[in-house]
Amino acid sequence: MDSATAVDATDAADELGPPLLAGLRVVELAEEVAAPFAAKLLADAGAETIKIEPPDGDAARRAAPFAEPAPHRETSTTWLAYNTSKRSVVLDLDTSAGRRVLQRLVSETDVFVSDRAPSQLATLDLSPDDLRERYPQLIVASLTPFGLIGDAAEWPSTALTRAHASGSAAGVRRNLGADSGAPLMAGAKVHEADGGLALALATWAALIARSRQGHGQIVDVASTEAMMNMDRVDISIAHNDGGPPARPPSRGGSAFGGRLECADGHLIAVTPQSHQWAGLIKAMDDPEWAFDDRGQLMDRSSLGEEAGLAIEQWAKVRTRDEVFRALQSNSAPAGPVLRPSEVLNSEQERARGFFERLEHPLAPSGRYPQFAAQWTGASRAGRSAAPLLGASTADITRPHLAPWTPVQARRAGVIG
Amino acid sequence: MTTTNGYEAQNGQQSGQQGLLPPAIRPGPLSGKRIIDFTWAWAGPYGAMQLALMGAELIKIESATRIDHSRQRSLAMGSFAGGVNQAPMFNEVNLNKYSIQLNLKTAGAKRVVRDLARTADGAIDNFRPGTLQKLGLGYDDLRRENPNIVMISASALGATGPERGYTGYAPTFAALSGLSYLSGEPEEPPVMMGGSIDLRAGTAAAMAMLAGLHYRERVGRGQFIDASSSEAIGMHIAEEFLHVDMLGRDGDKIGNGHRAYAPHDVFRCASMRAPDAYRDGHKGARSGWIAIACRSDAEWAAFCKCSGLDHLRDDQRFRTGLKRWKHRAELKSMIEAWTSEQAAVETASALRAAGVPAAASVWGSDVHHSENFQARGGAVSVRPPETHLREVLPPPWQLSETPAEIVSPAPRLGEDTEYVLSRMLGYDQDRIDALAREGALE
Repeated sequence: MDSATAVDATDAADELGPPLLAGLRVVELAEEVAAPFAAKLLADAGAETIKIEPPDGDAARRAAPFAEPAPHRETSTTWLAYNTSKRSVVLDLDTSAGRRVLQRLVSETDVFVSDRAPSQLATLDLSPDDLRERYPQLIVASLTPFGLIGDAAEWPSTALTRAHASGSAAGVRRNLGADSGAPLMAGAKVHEADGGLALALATWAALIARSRQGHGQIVDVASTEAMMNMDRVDISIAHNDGGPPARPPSRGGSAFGGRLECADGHLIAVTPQSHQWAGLIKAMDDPEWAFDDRGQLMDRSSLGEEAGLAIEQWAKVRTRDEVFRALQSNSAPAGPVLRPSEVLNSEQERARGFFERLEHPLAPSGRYPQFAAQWTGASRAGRSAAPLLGASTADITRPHLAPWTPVQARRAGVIG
Repeated sequence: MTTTNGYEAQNGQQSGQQGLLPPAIRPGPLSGKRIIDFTWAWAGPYGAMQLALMGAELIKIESATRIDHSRQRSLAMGSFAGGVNQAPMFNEVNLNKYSIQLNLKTAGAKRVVRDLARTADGAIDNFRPGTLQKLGLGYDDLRRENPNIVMISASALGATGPERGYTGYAPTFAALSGLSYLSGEPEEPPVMMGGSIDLRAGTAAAMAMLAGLHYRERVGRGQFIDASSSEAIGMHIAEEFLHVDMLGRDGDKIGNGHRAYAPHDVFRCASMRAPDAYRDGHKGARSGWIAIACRSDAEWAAFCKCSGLDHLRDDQRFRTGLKRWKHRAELKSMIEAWTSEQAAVETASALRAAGVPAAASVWGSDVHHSENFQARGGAVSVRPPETHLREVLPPPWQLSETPAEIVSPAPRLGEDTEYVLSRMLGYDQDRIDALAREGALE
């Protein structure tokens, strides 16, 4: 691309408008990763997001690892990652006054994000169908492991059992090329994040419908279905076509793609199109074995295993970066297997400003990823690090506590 | 042109151009929206399909001179033996769309796209940055036709930065994001991730597009959105970047394990289901896996009771959570000795009833047959042209007032060319014939 064509569009645009969700209000009753991720995406886009926590806080606050050797409720990296730009309000929902405050907050919000099972919502008098009747403009955004209907809605589950119940873990194993090994979760908390992203997507759709038609609705996302959709192509072929055989074990870069071992780690090269294969051969300085007697590039299917071995040997004596640049400058898709620390320091992500440093009163400062897209017509909302437990309790609940003051309510254990 | 609600659009009151067919009225929150879909492969088409499932009219621009390779092959399977209208990969990420055949290298085809832009709410592409600009069909070109258009370009590494011209596929996005490094069994090489990575990137792009469309409803302006597929995976693992800054080190692979809990793993079973659940020797009967997690002494006690492995509960090695975690390898082999004589589905069901998180690890038809999936309504049947009936997964979100609906299988190549030109754009036959002579419709 000639330089910065896309940026021209930005420069030429009129003044930036307000942040995407400026003026919108979200109330979140959710824990751990999945639904908090969805609410975080709305919060980072500028929605005022009030997170309701129990007196001992979201369970993510207790998830290792912590920013310091000793566990601390403000410094779990999981907690910090999925709760940026939110305000924390502590309510004891075992008290009727606490439940009443939550009811009031929900009555005034645009979106209510929940990960509670149907039975728990009923106990809180927050059943989605009832909310829908009481507050026609409200969007009830529910993310549960198996959805709001059916027996499975109350099943016990964890991130592990959800990833396996969805087919998502089997999908990871199948990509390893082995048919017989144990199904395997992908790294970090990717499977859980799938549910959160699906909820954010569907909630935005409901916001569009509300802008156009004036009414809210119930958004019911099953996180296991969000995960299974990520593998919908291969699941469909397995179900409808009785195949395919699992991917053959990776043969270096010889087939359509594979993992190569370089001098300083691994690299993935994927060259399904013939011009990409030609680029890979060119990057290798046109080795003789790739050409026939007339000097024509040979079809790779006729090359056999030696080609793969030659590619492996070529890569092995070079760094990931050398192989990466050589392949990409010849239009052959490739990517080094980067450590997170290398992603943080990559020139590309620095130039794009993908990571933003946020300060926190107790945790060390850290670089937090932005959303993976840049909206060139809207101002970025100012983000903030995750809130201290209950930091906004008094501010937010004061109007709803009458005749009590926040101090009285705290003494009574209603708020934290 | 902004349609405030579907019915007005259907009556043509807001189309702004007499005699033309405004965006179709379909179920879903995006009913009456028209989106030009330049995407190909997996990530872009899946993202665009989310909008189509939500009721938007997606007009996929295709050409026989540059066939979407998901009509022909997949990275995992290699070449597909059937024709371009029969590929199962293509069907899965292009449901509900229209297909118009246009060779964008011709002046006539470019004119068609510009005309479409006038009637469209948005456009989505996943070309290498700059490709559409070179064709005269970039955001600035389309915006001249329609100042309020929302356009998203989703590329491997984004449209800015020194690596903006680089290309990639799902496995390279995962590698560049940090996810591959963190995926796999401890002590094993990192995992090369597959197509699911594309669909994650597509979901992120779809969300970004919805945010742009919503913004247009609220603020009244379109915009250009620059999306990076590698960043889409990076944002799924936000805490791993904080590990680096706050703990001073990268995270590591834990596979199915957990940093505090045990048992927390998958265990081999004798079969997926009990023998009497199969007729005709179902293939899935060969093997099965069960995932089991115990997060507390209470869940551990419930597990021991339900499994009949009471002796494990009394074993000093497994008396506390910390001890179970330290001795997790021994624990695994002792539990597997039991599960290897059980059926995964029935055992998981019994464990859950006892309050223990457990699930059969499913794939393919076993996903379709799972109790939880069936309870949500199960699969939807579609019959793609030129092939057999297929059961496909519905979207994971259910919207109570504006439900999604799978109304059509993926289109044949160029299936709707005539319809788009004559009905949506009002071209007469002479004009269409002239386009064909020019080679614009190849």
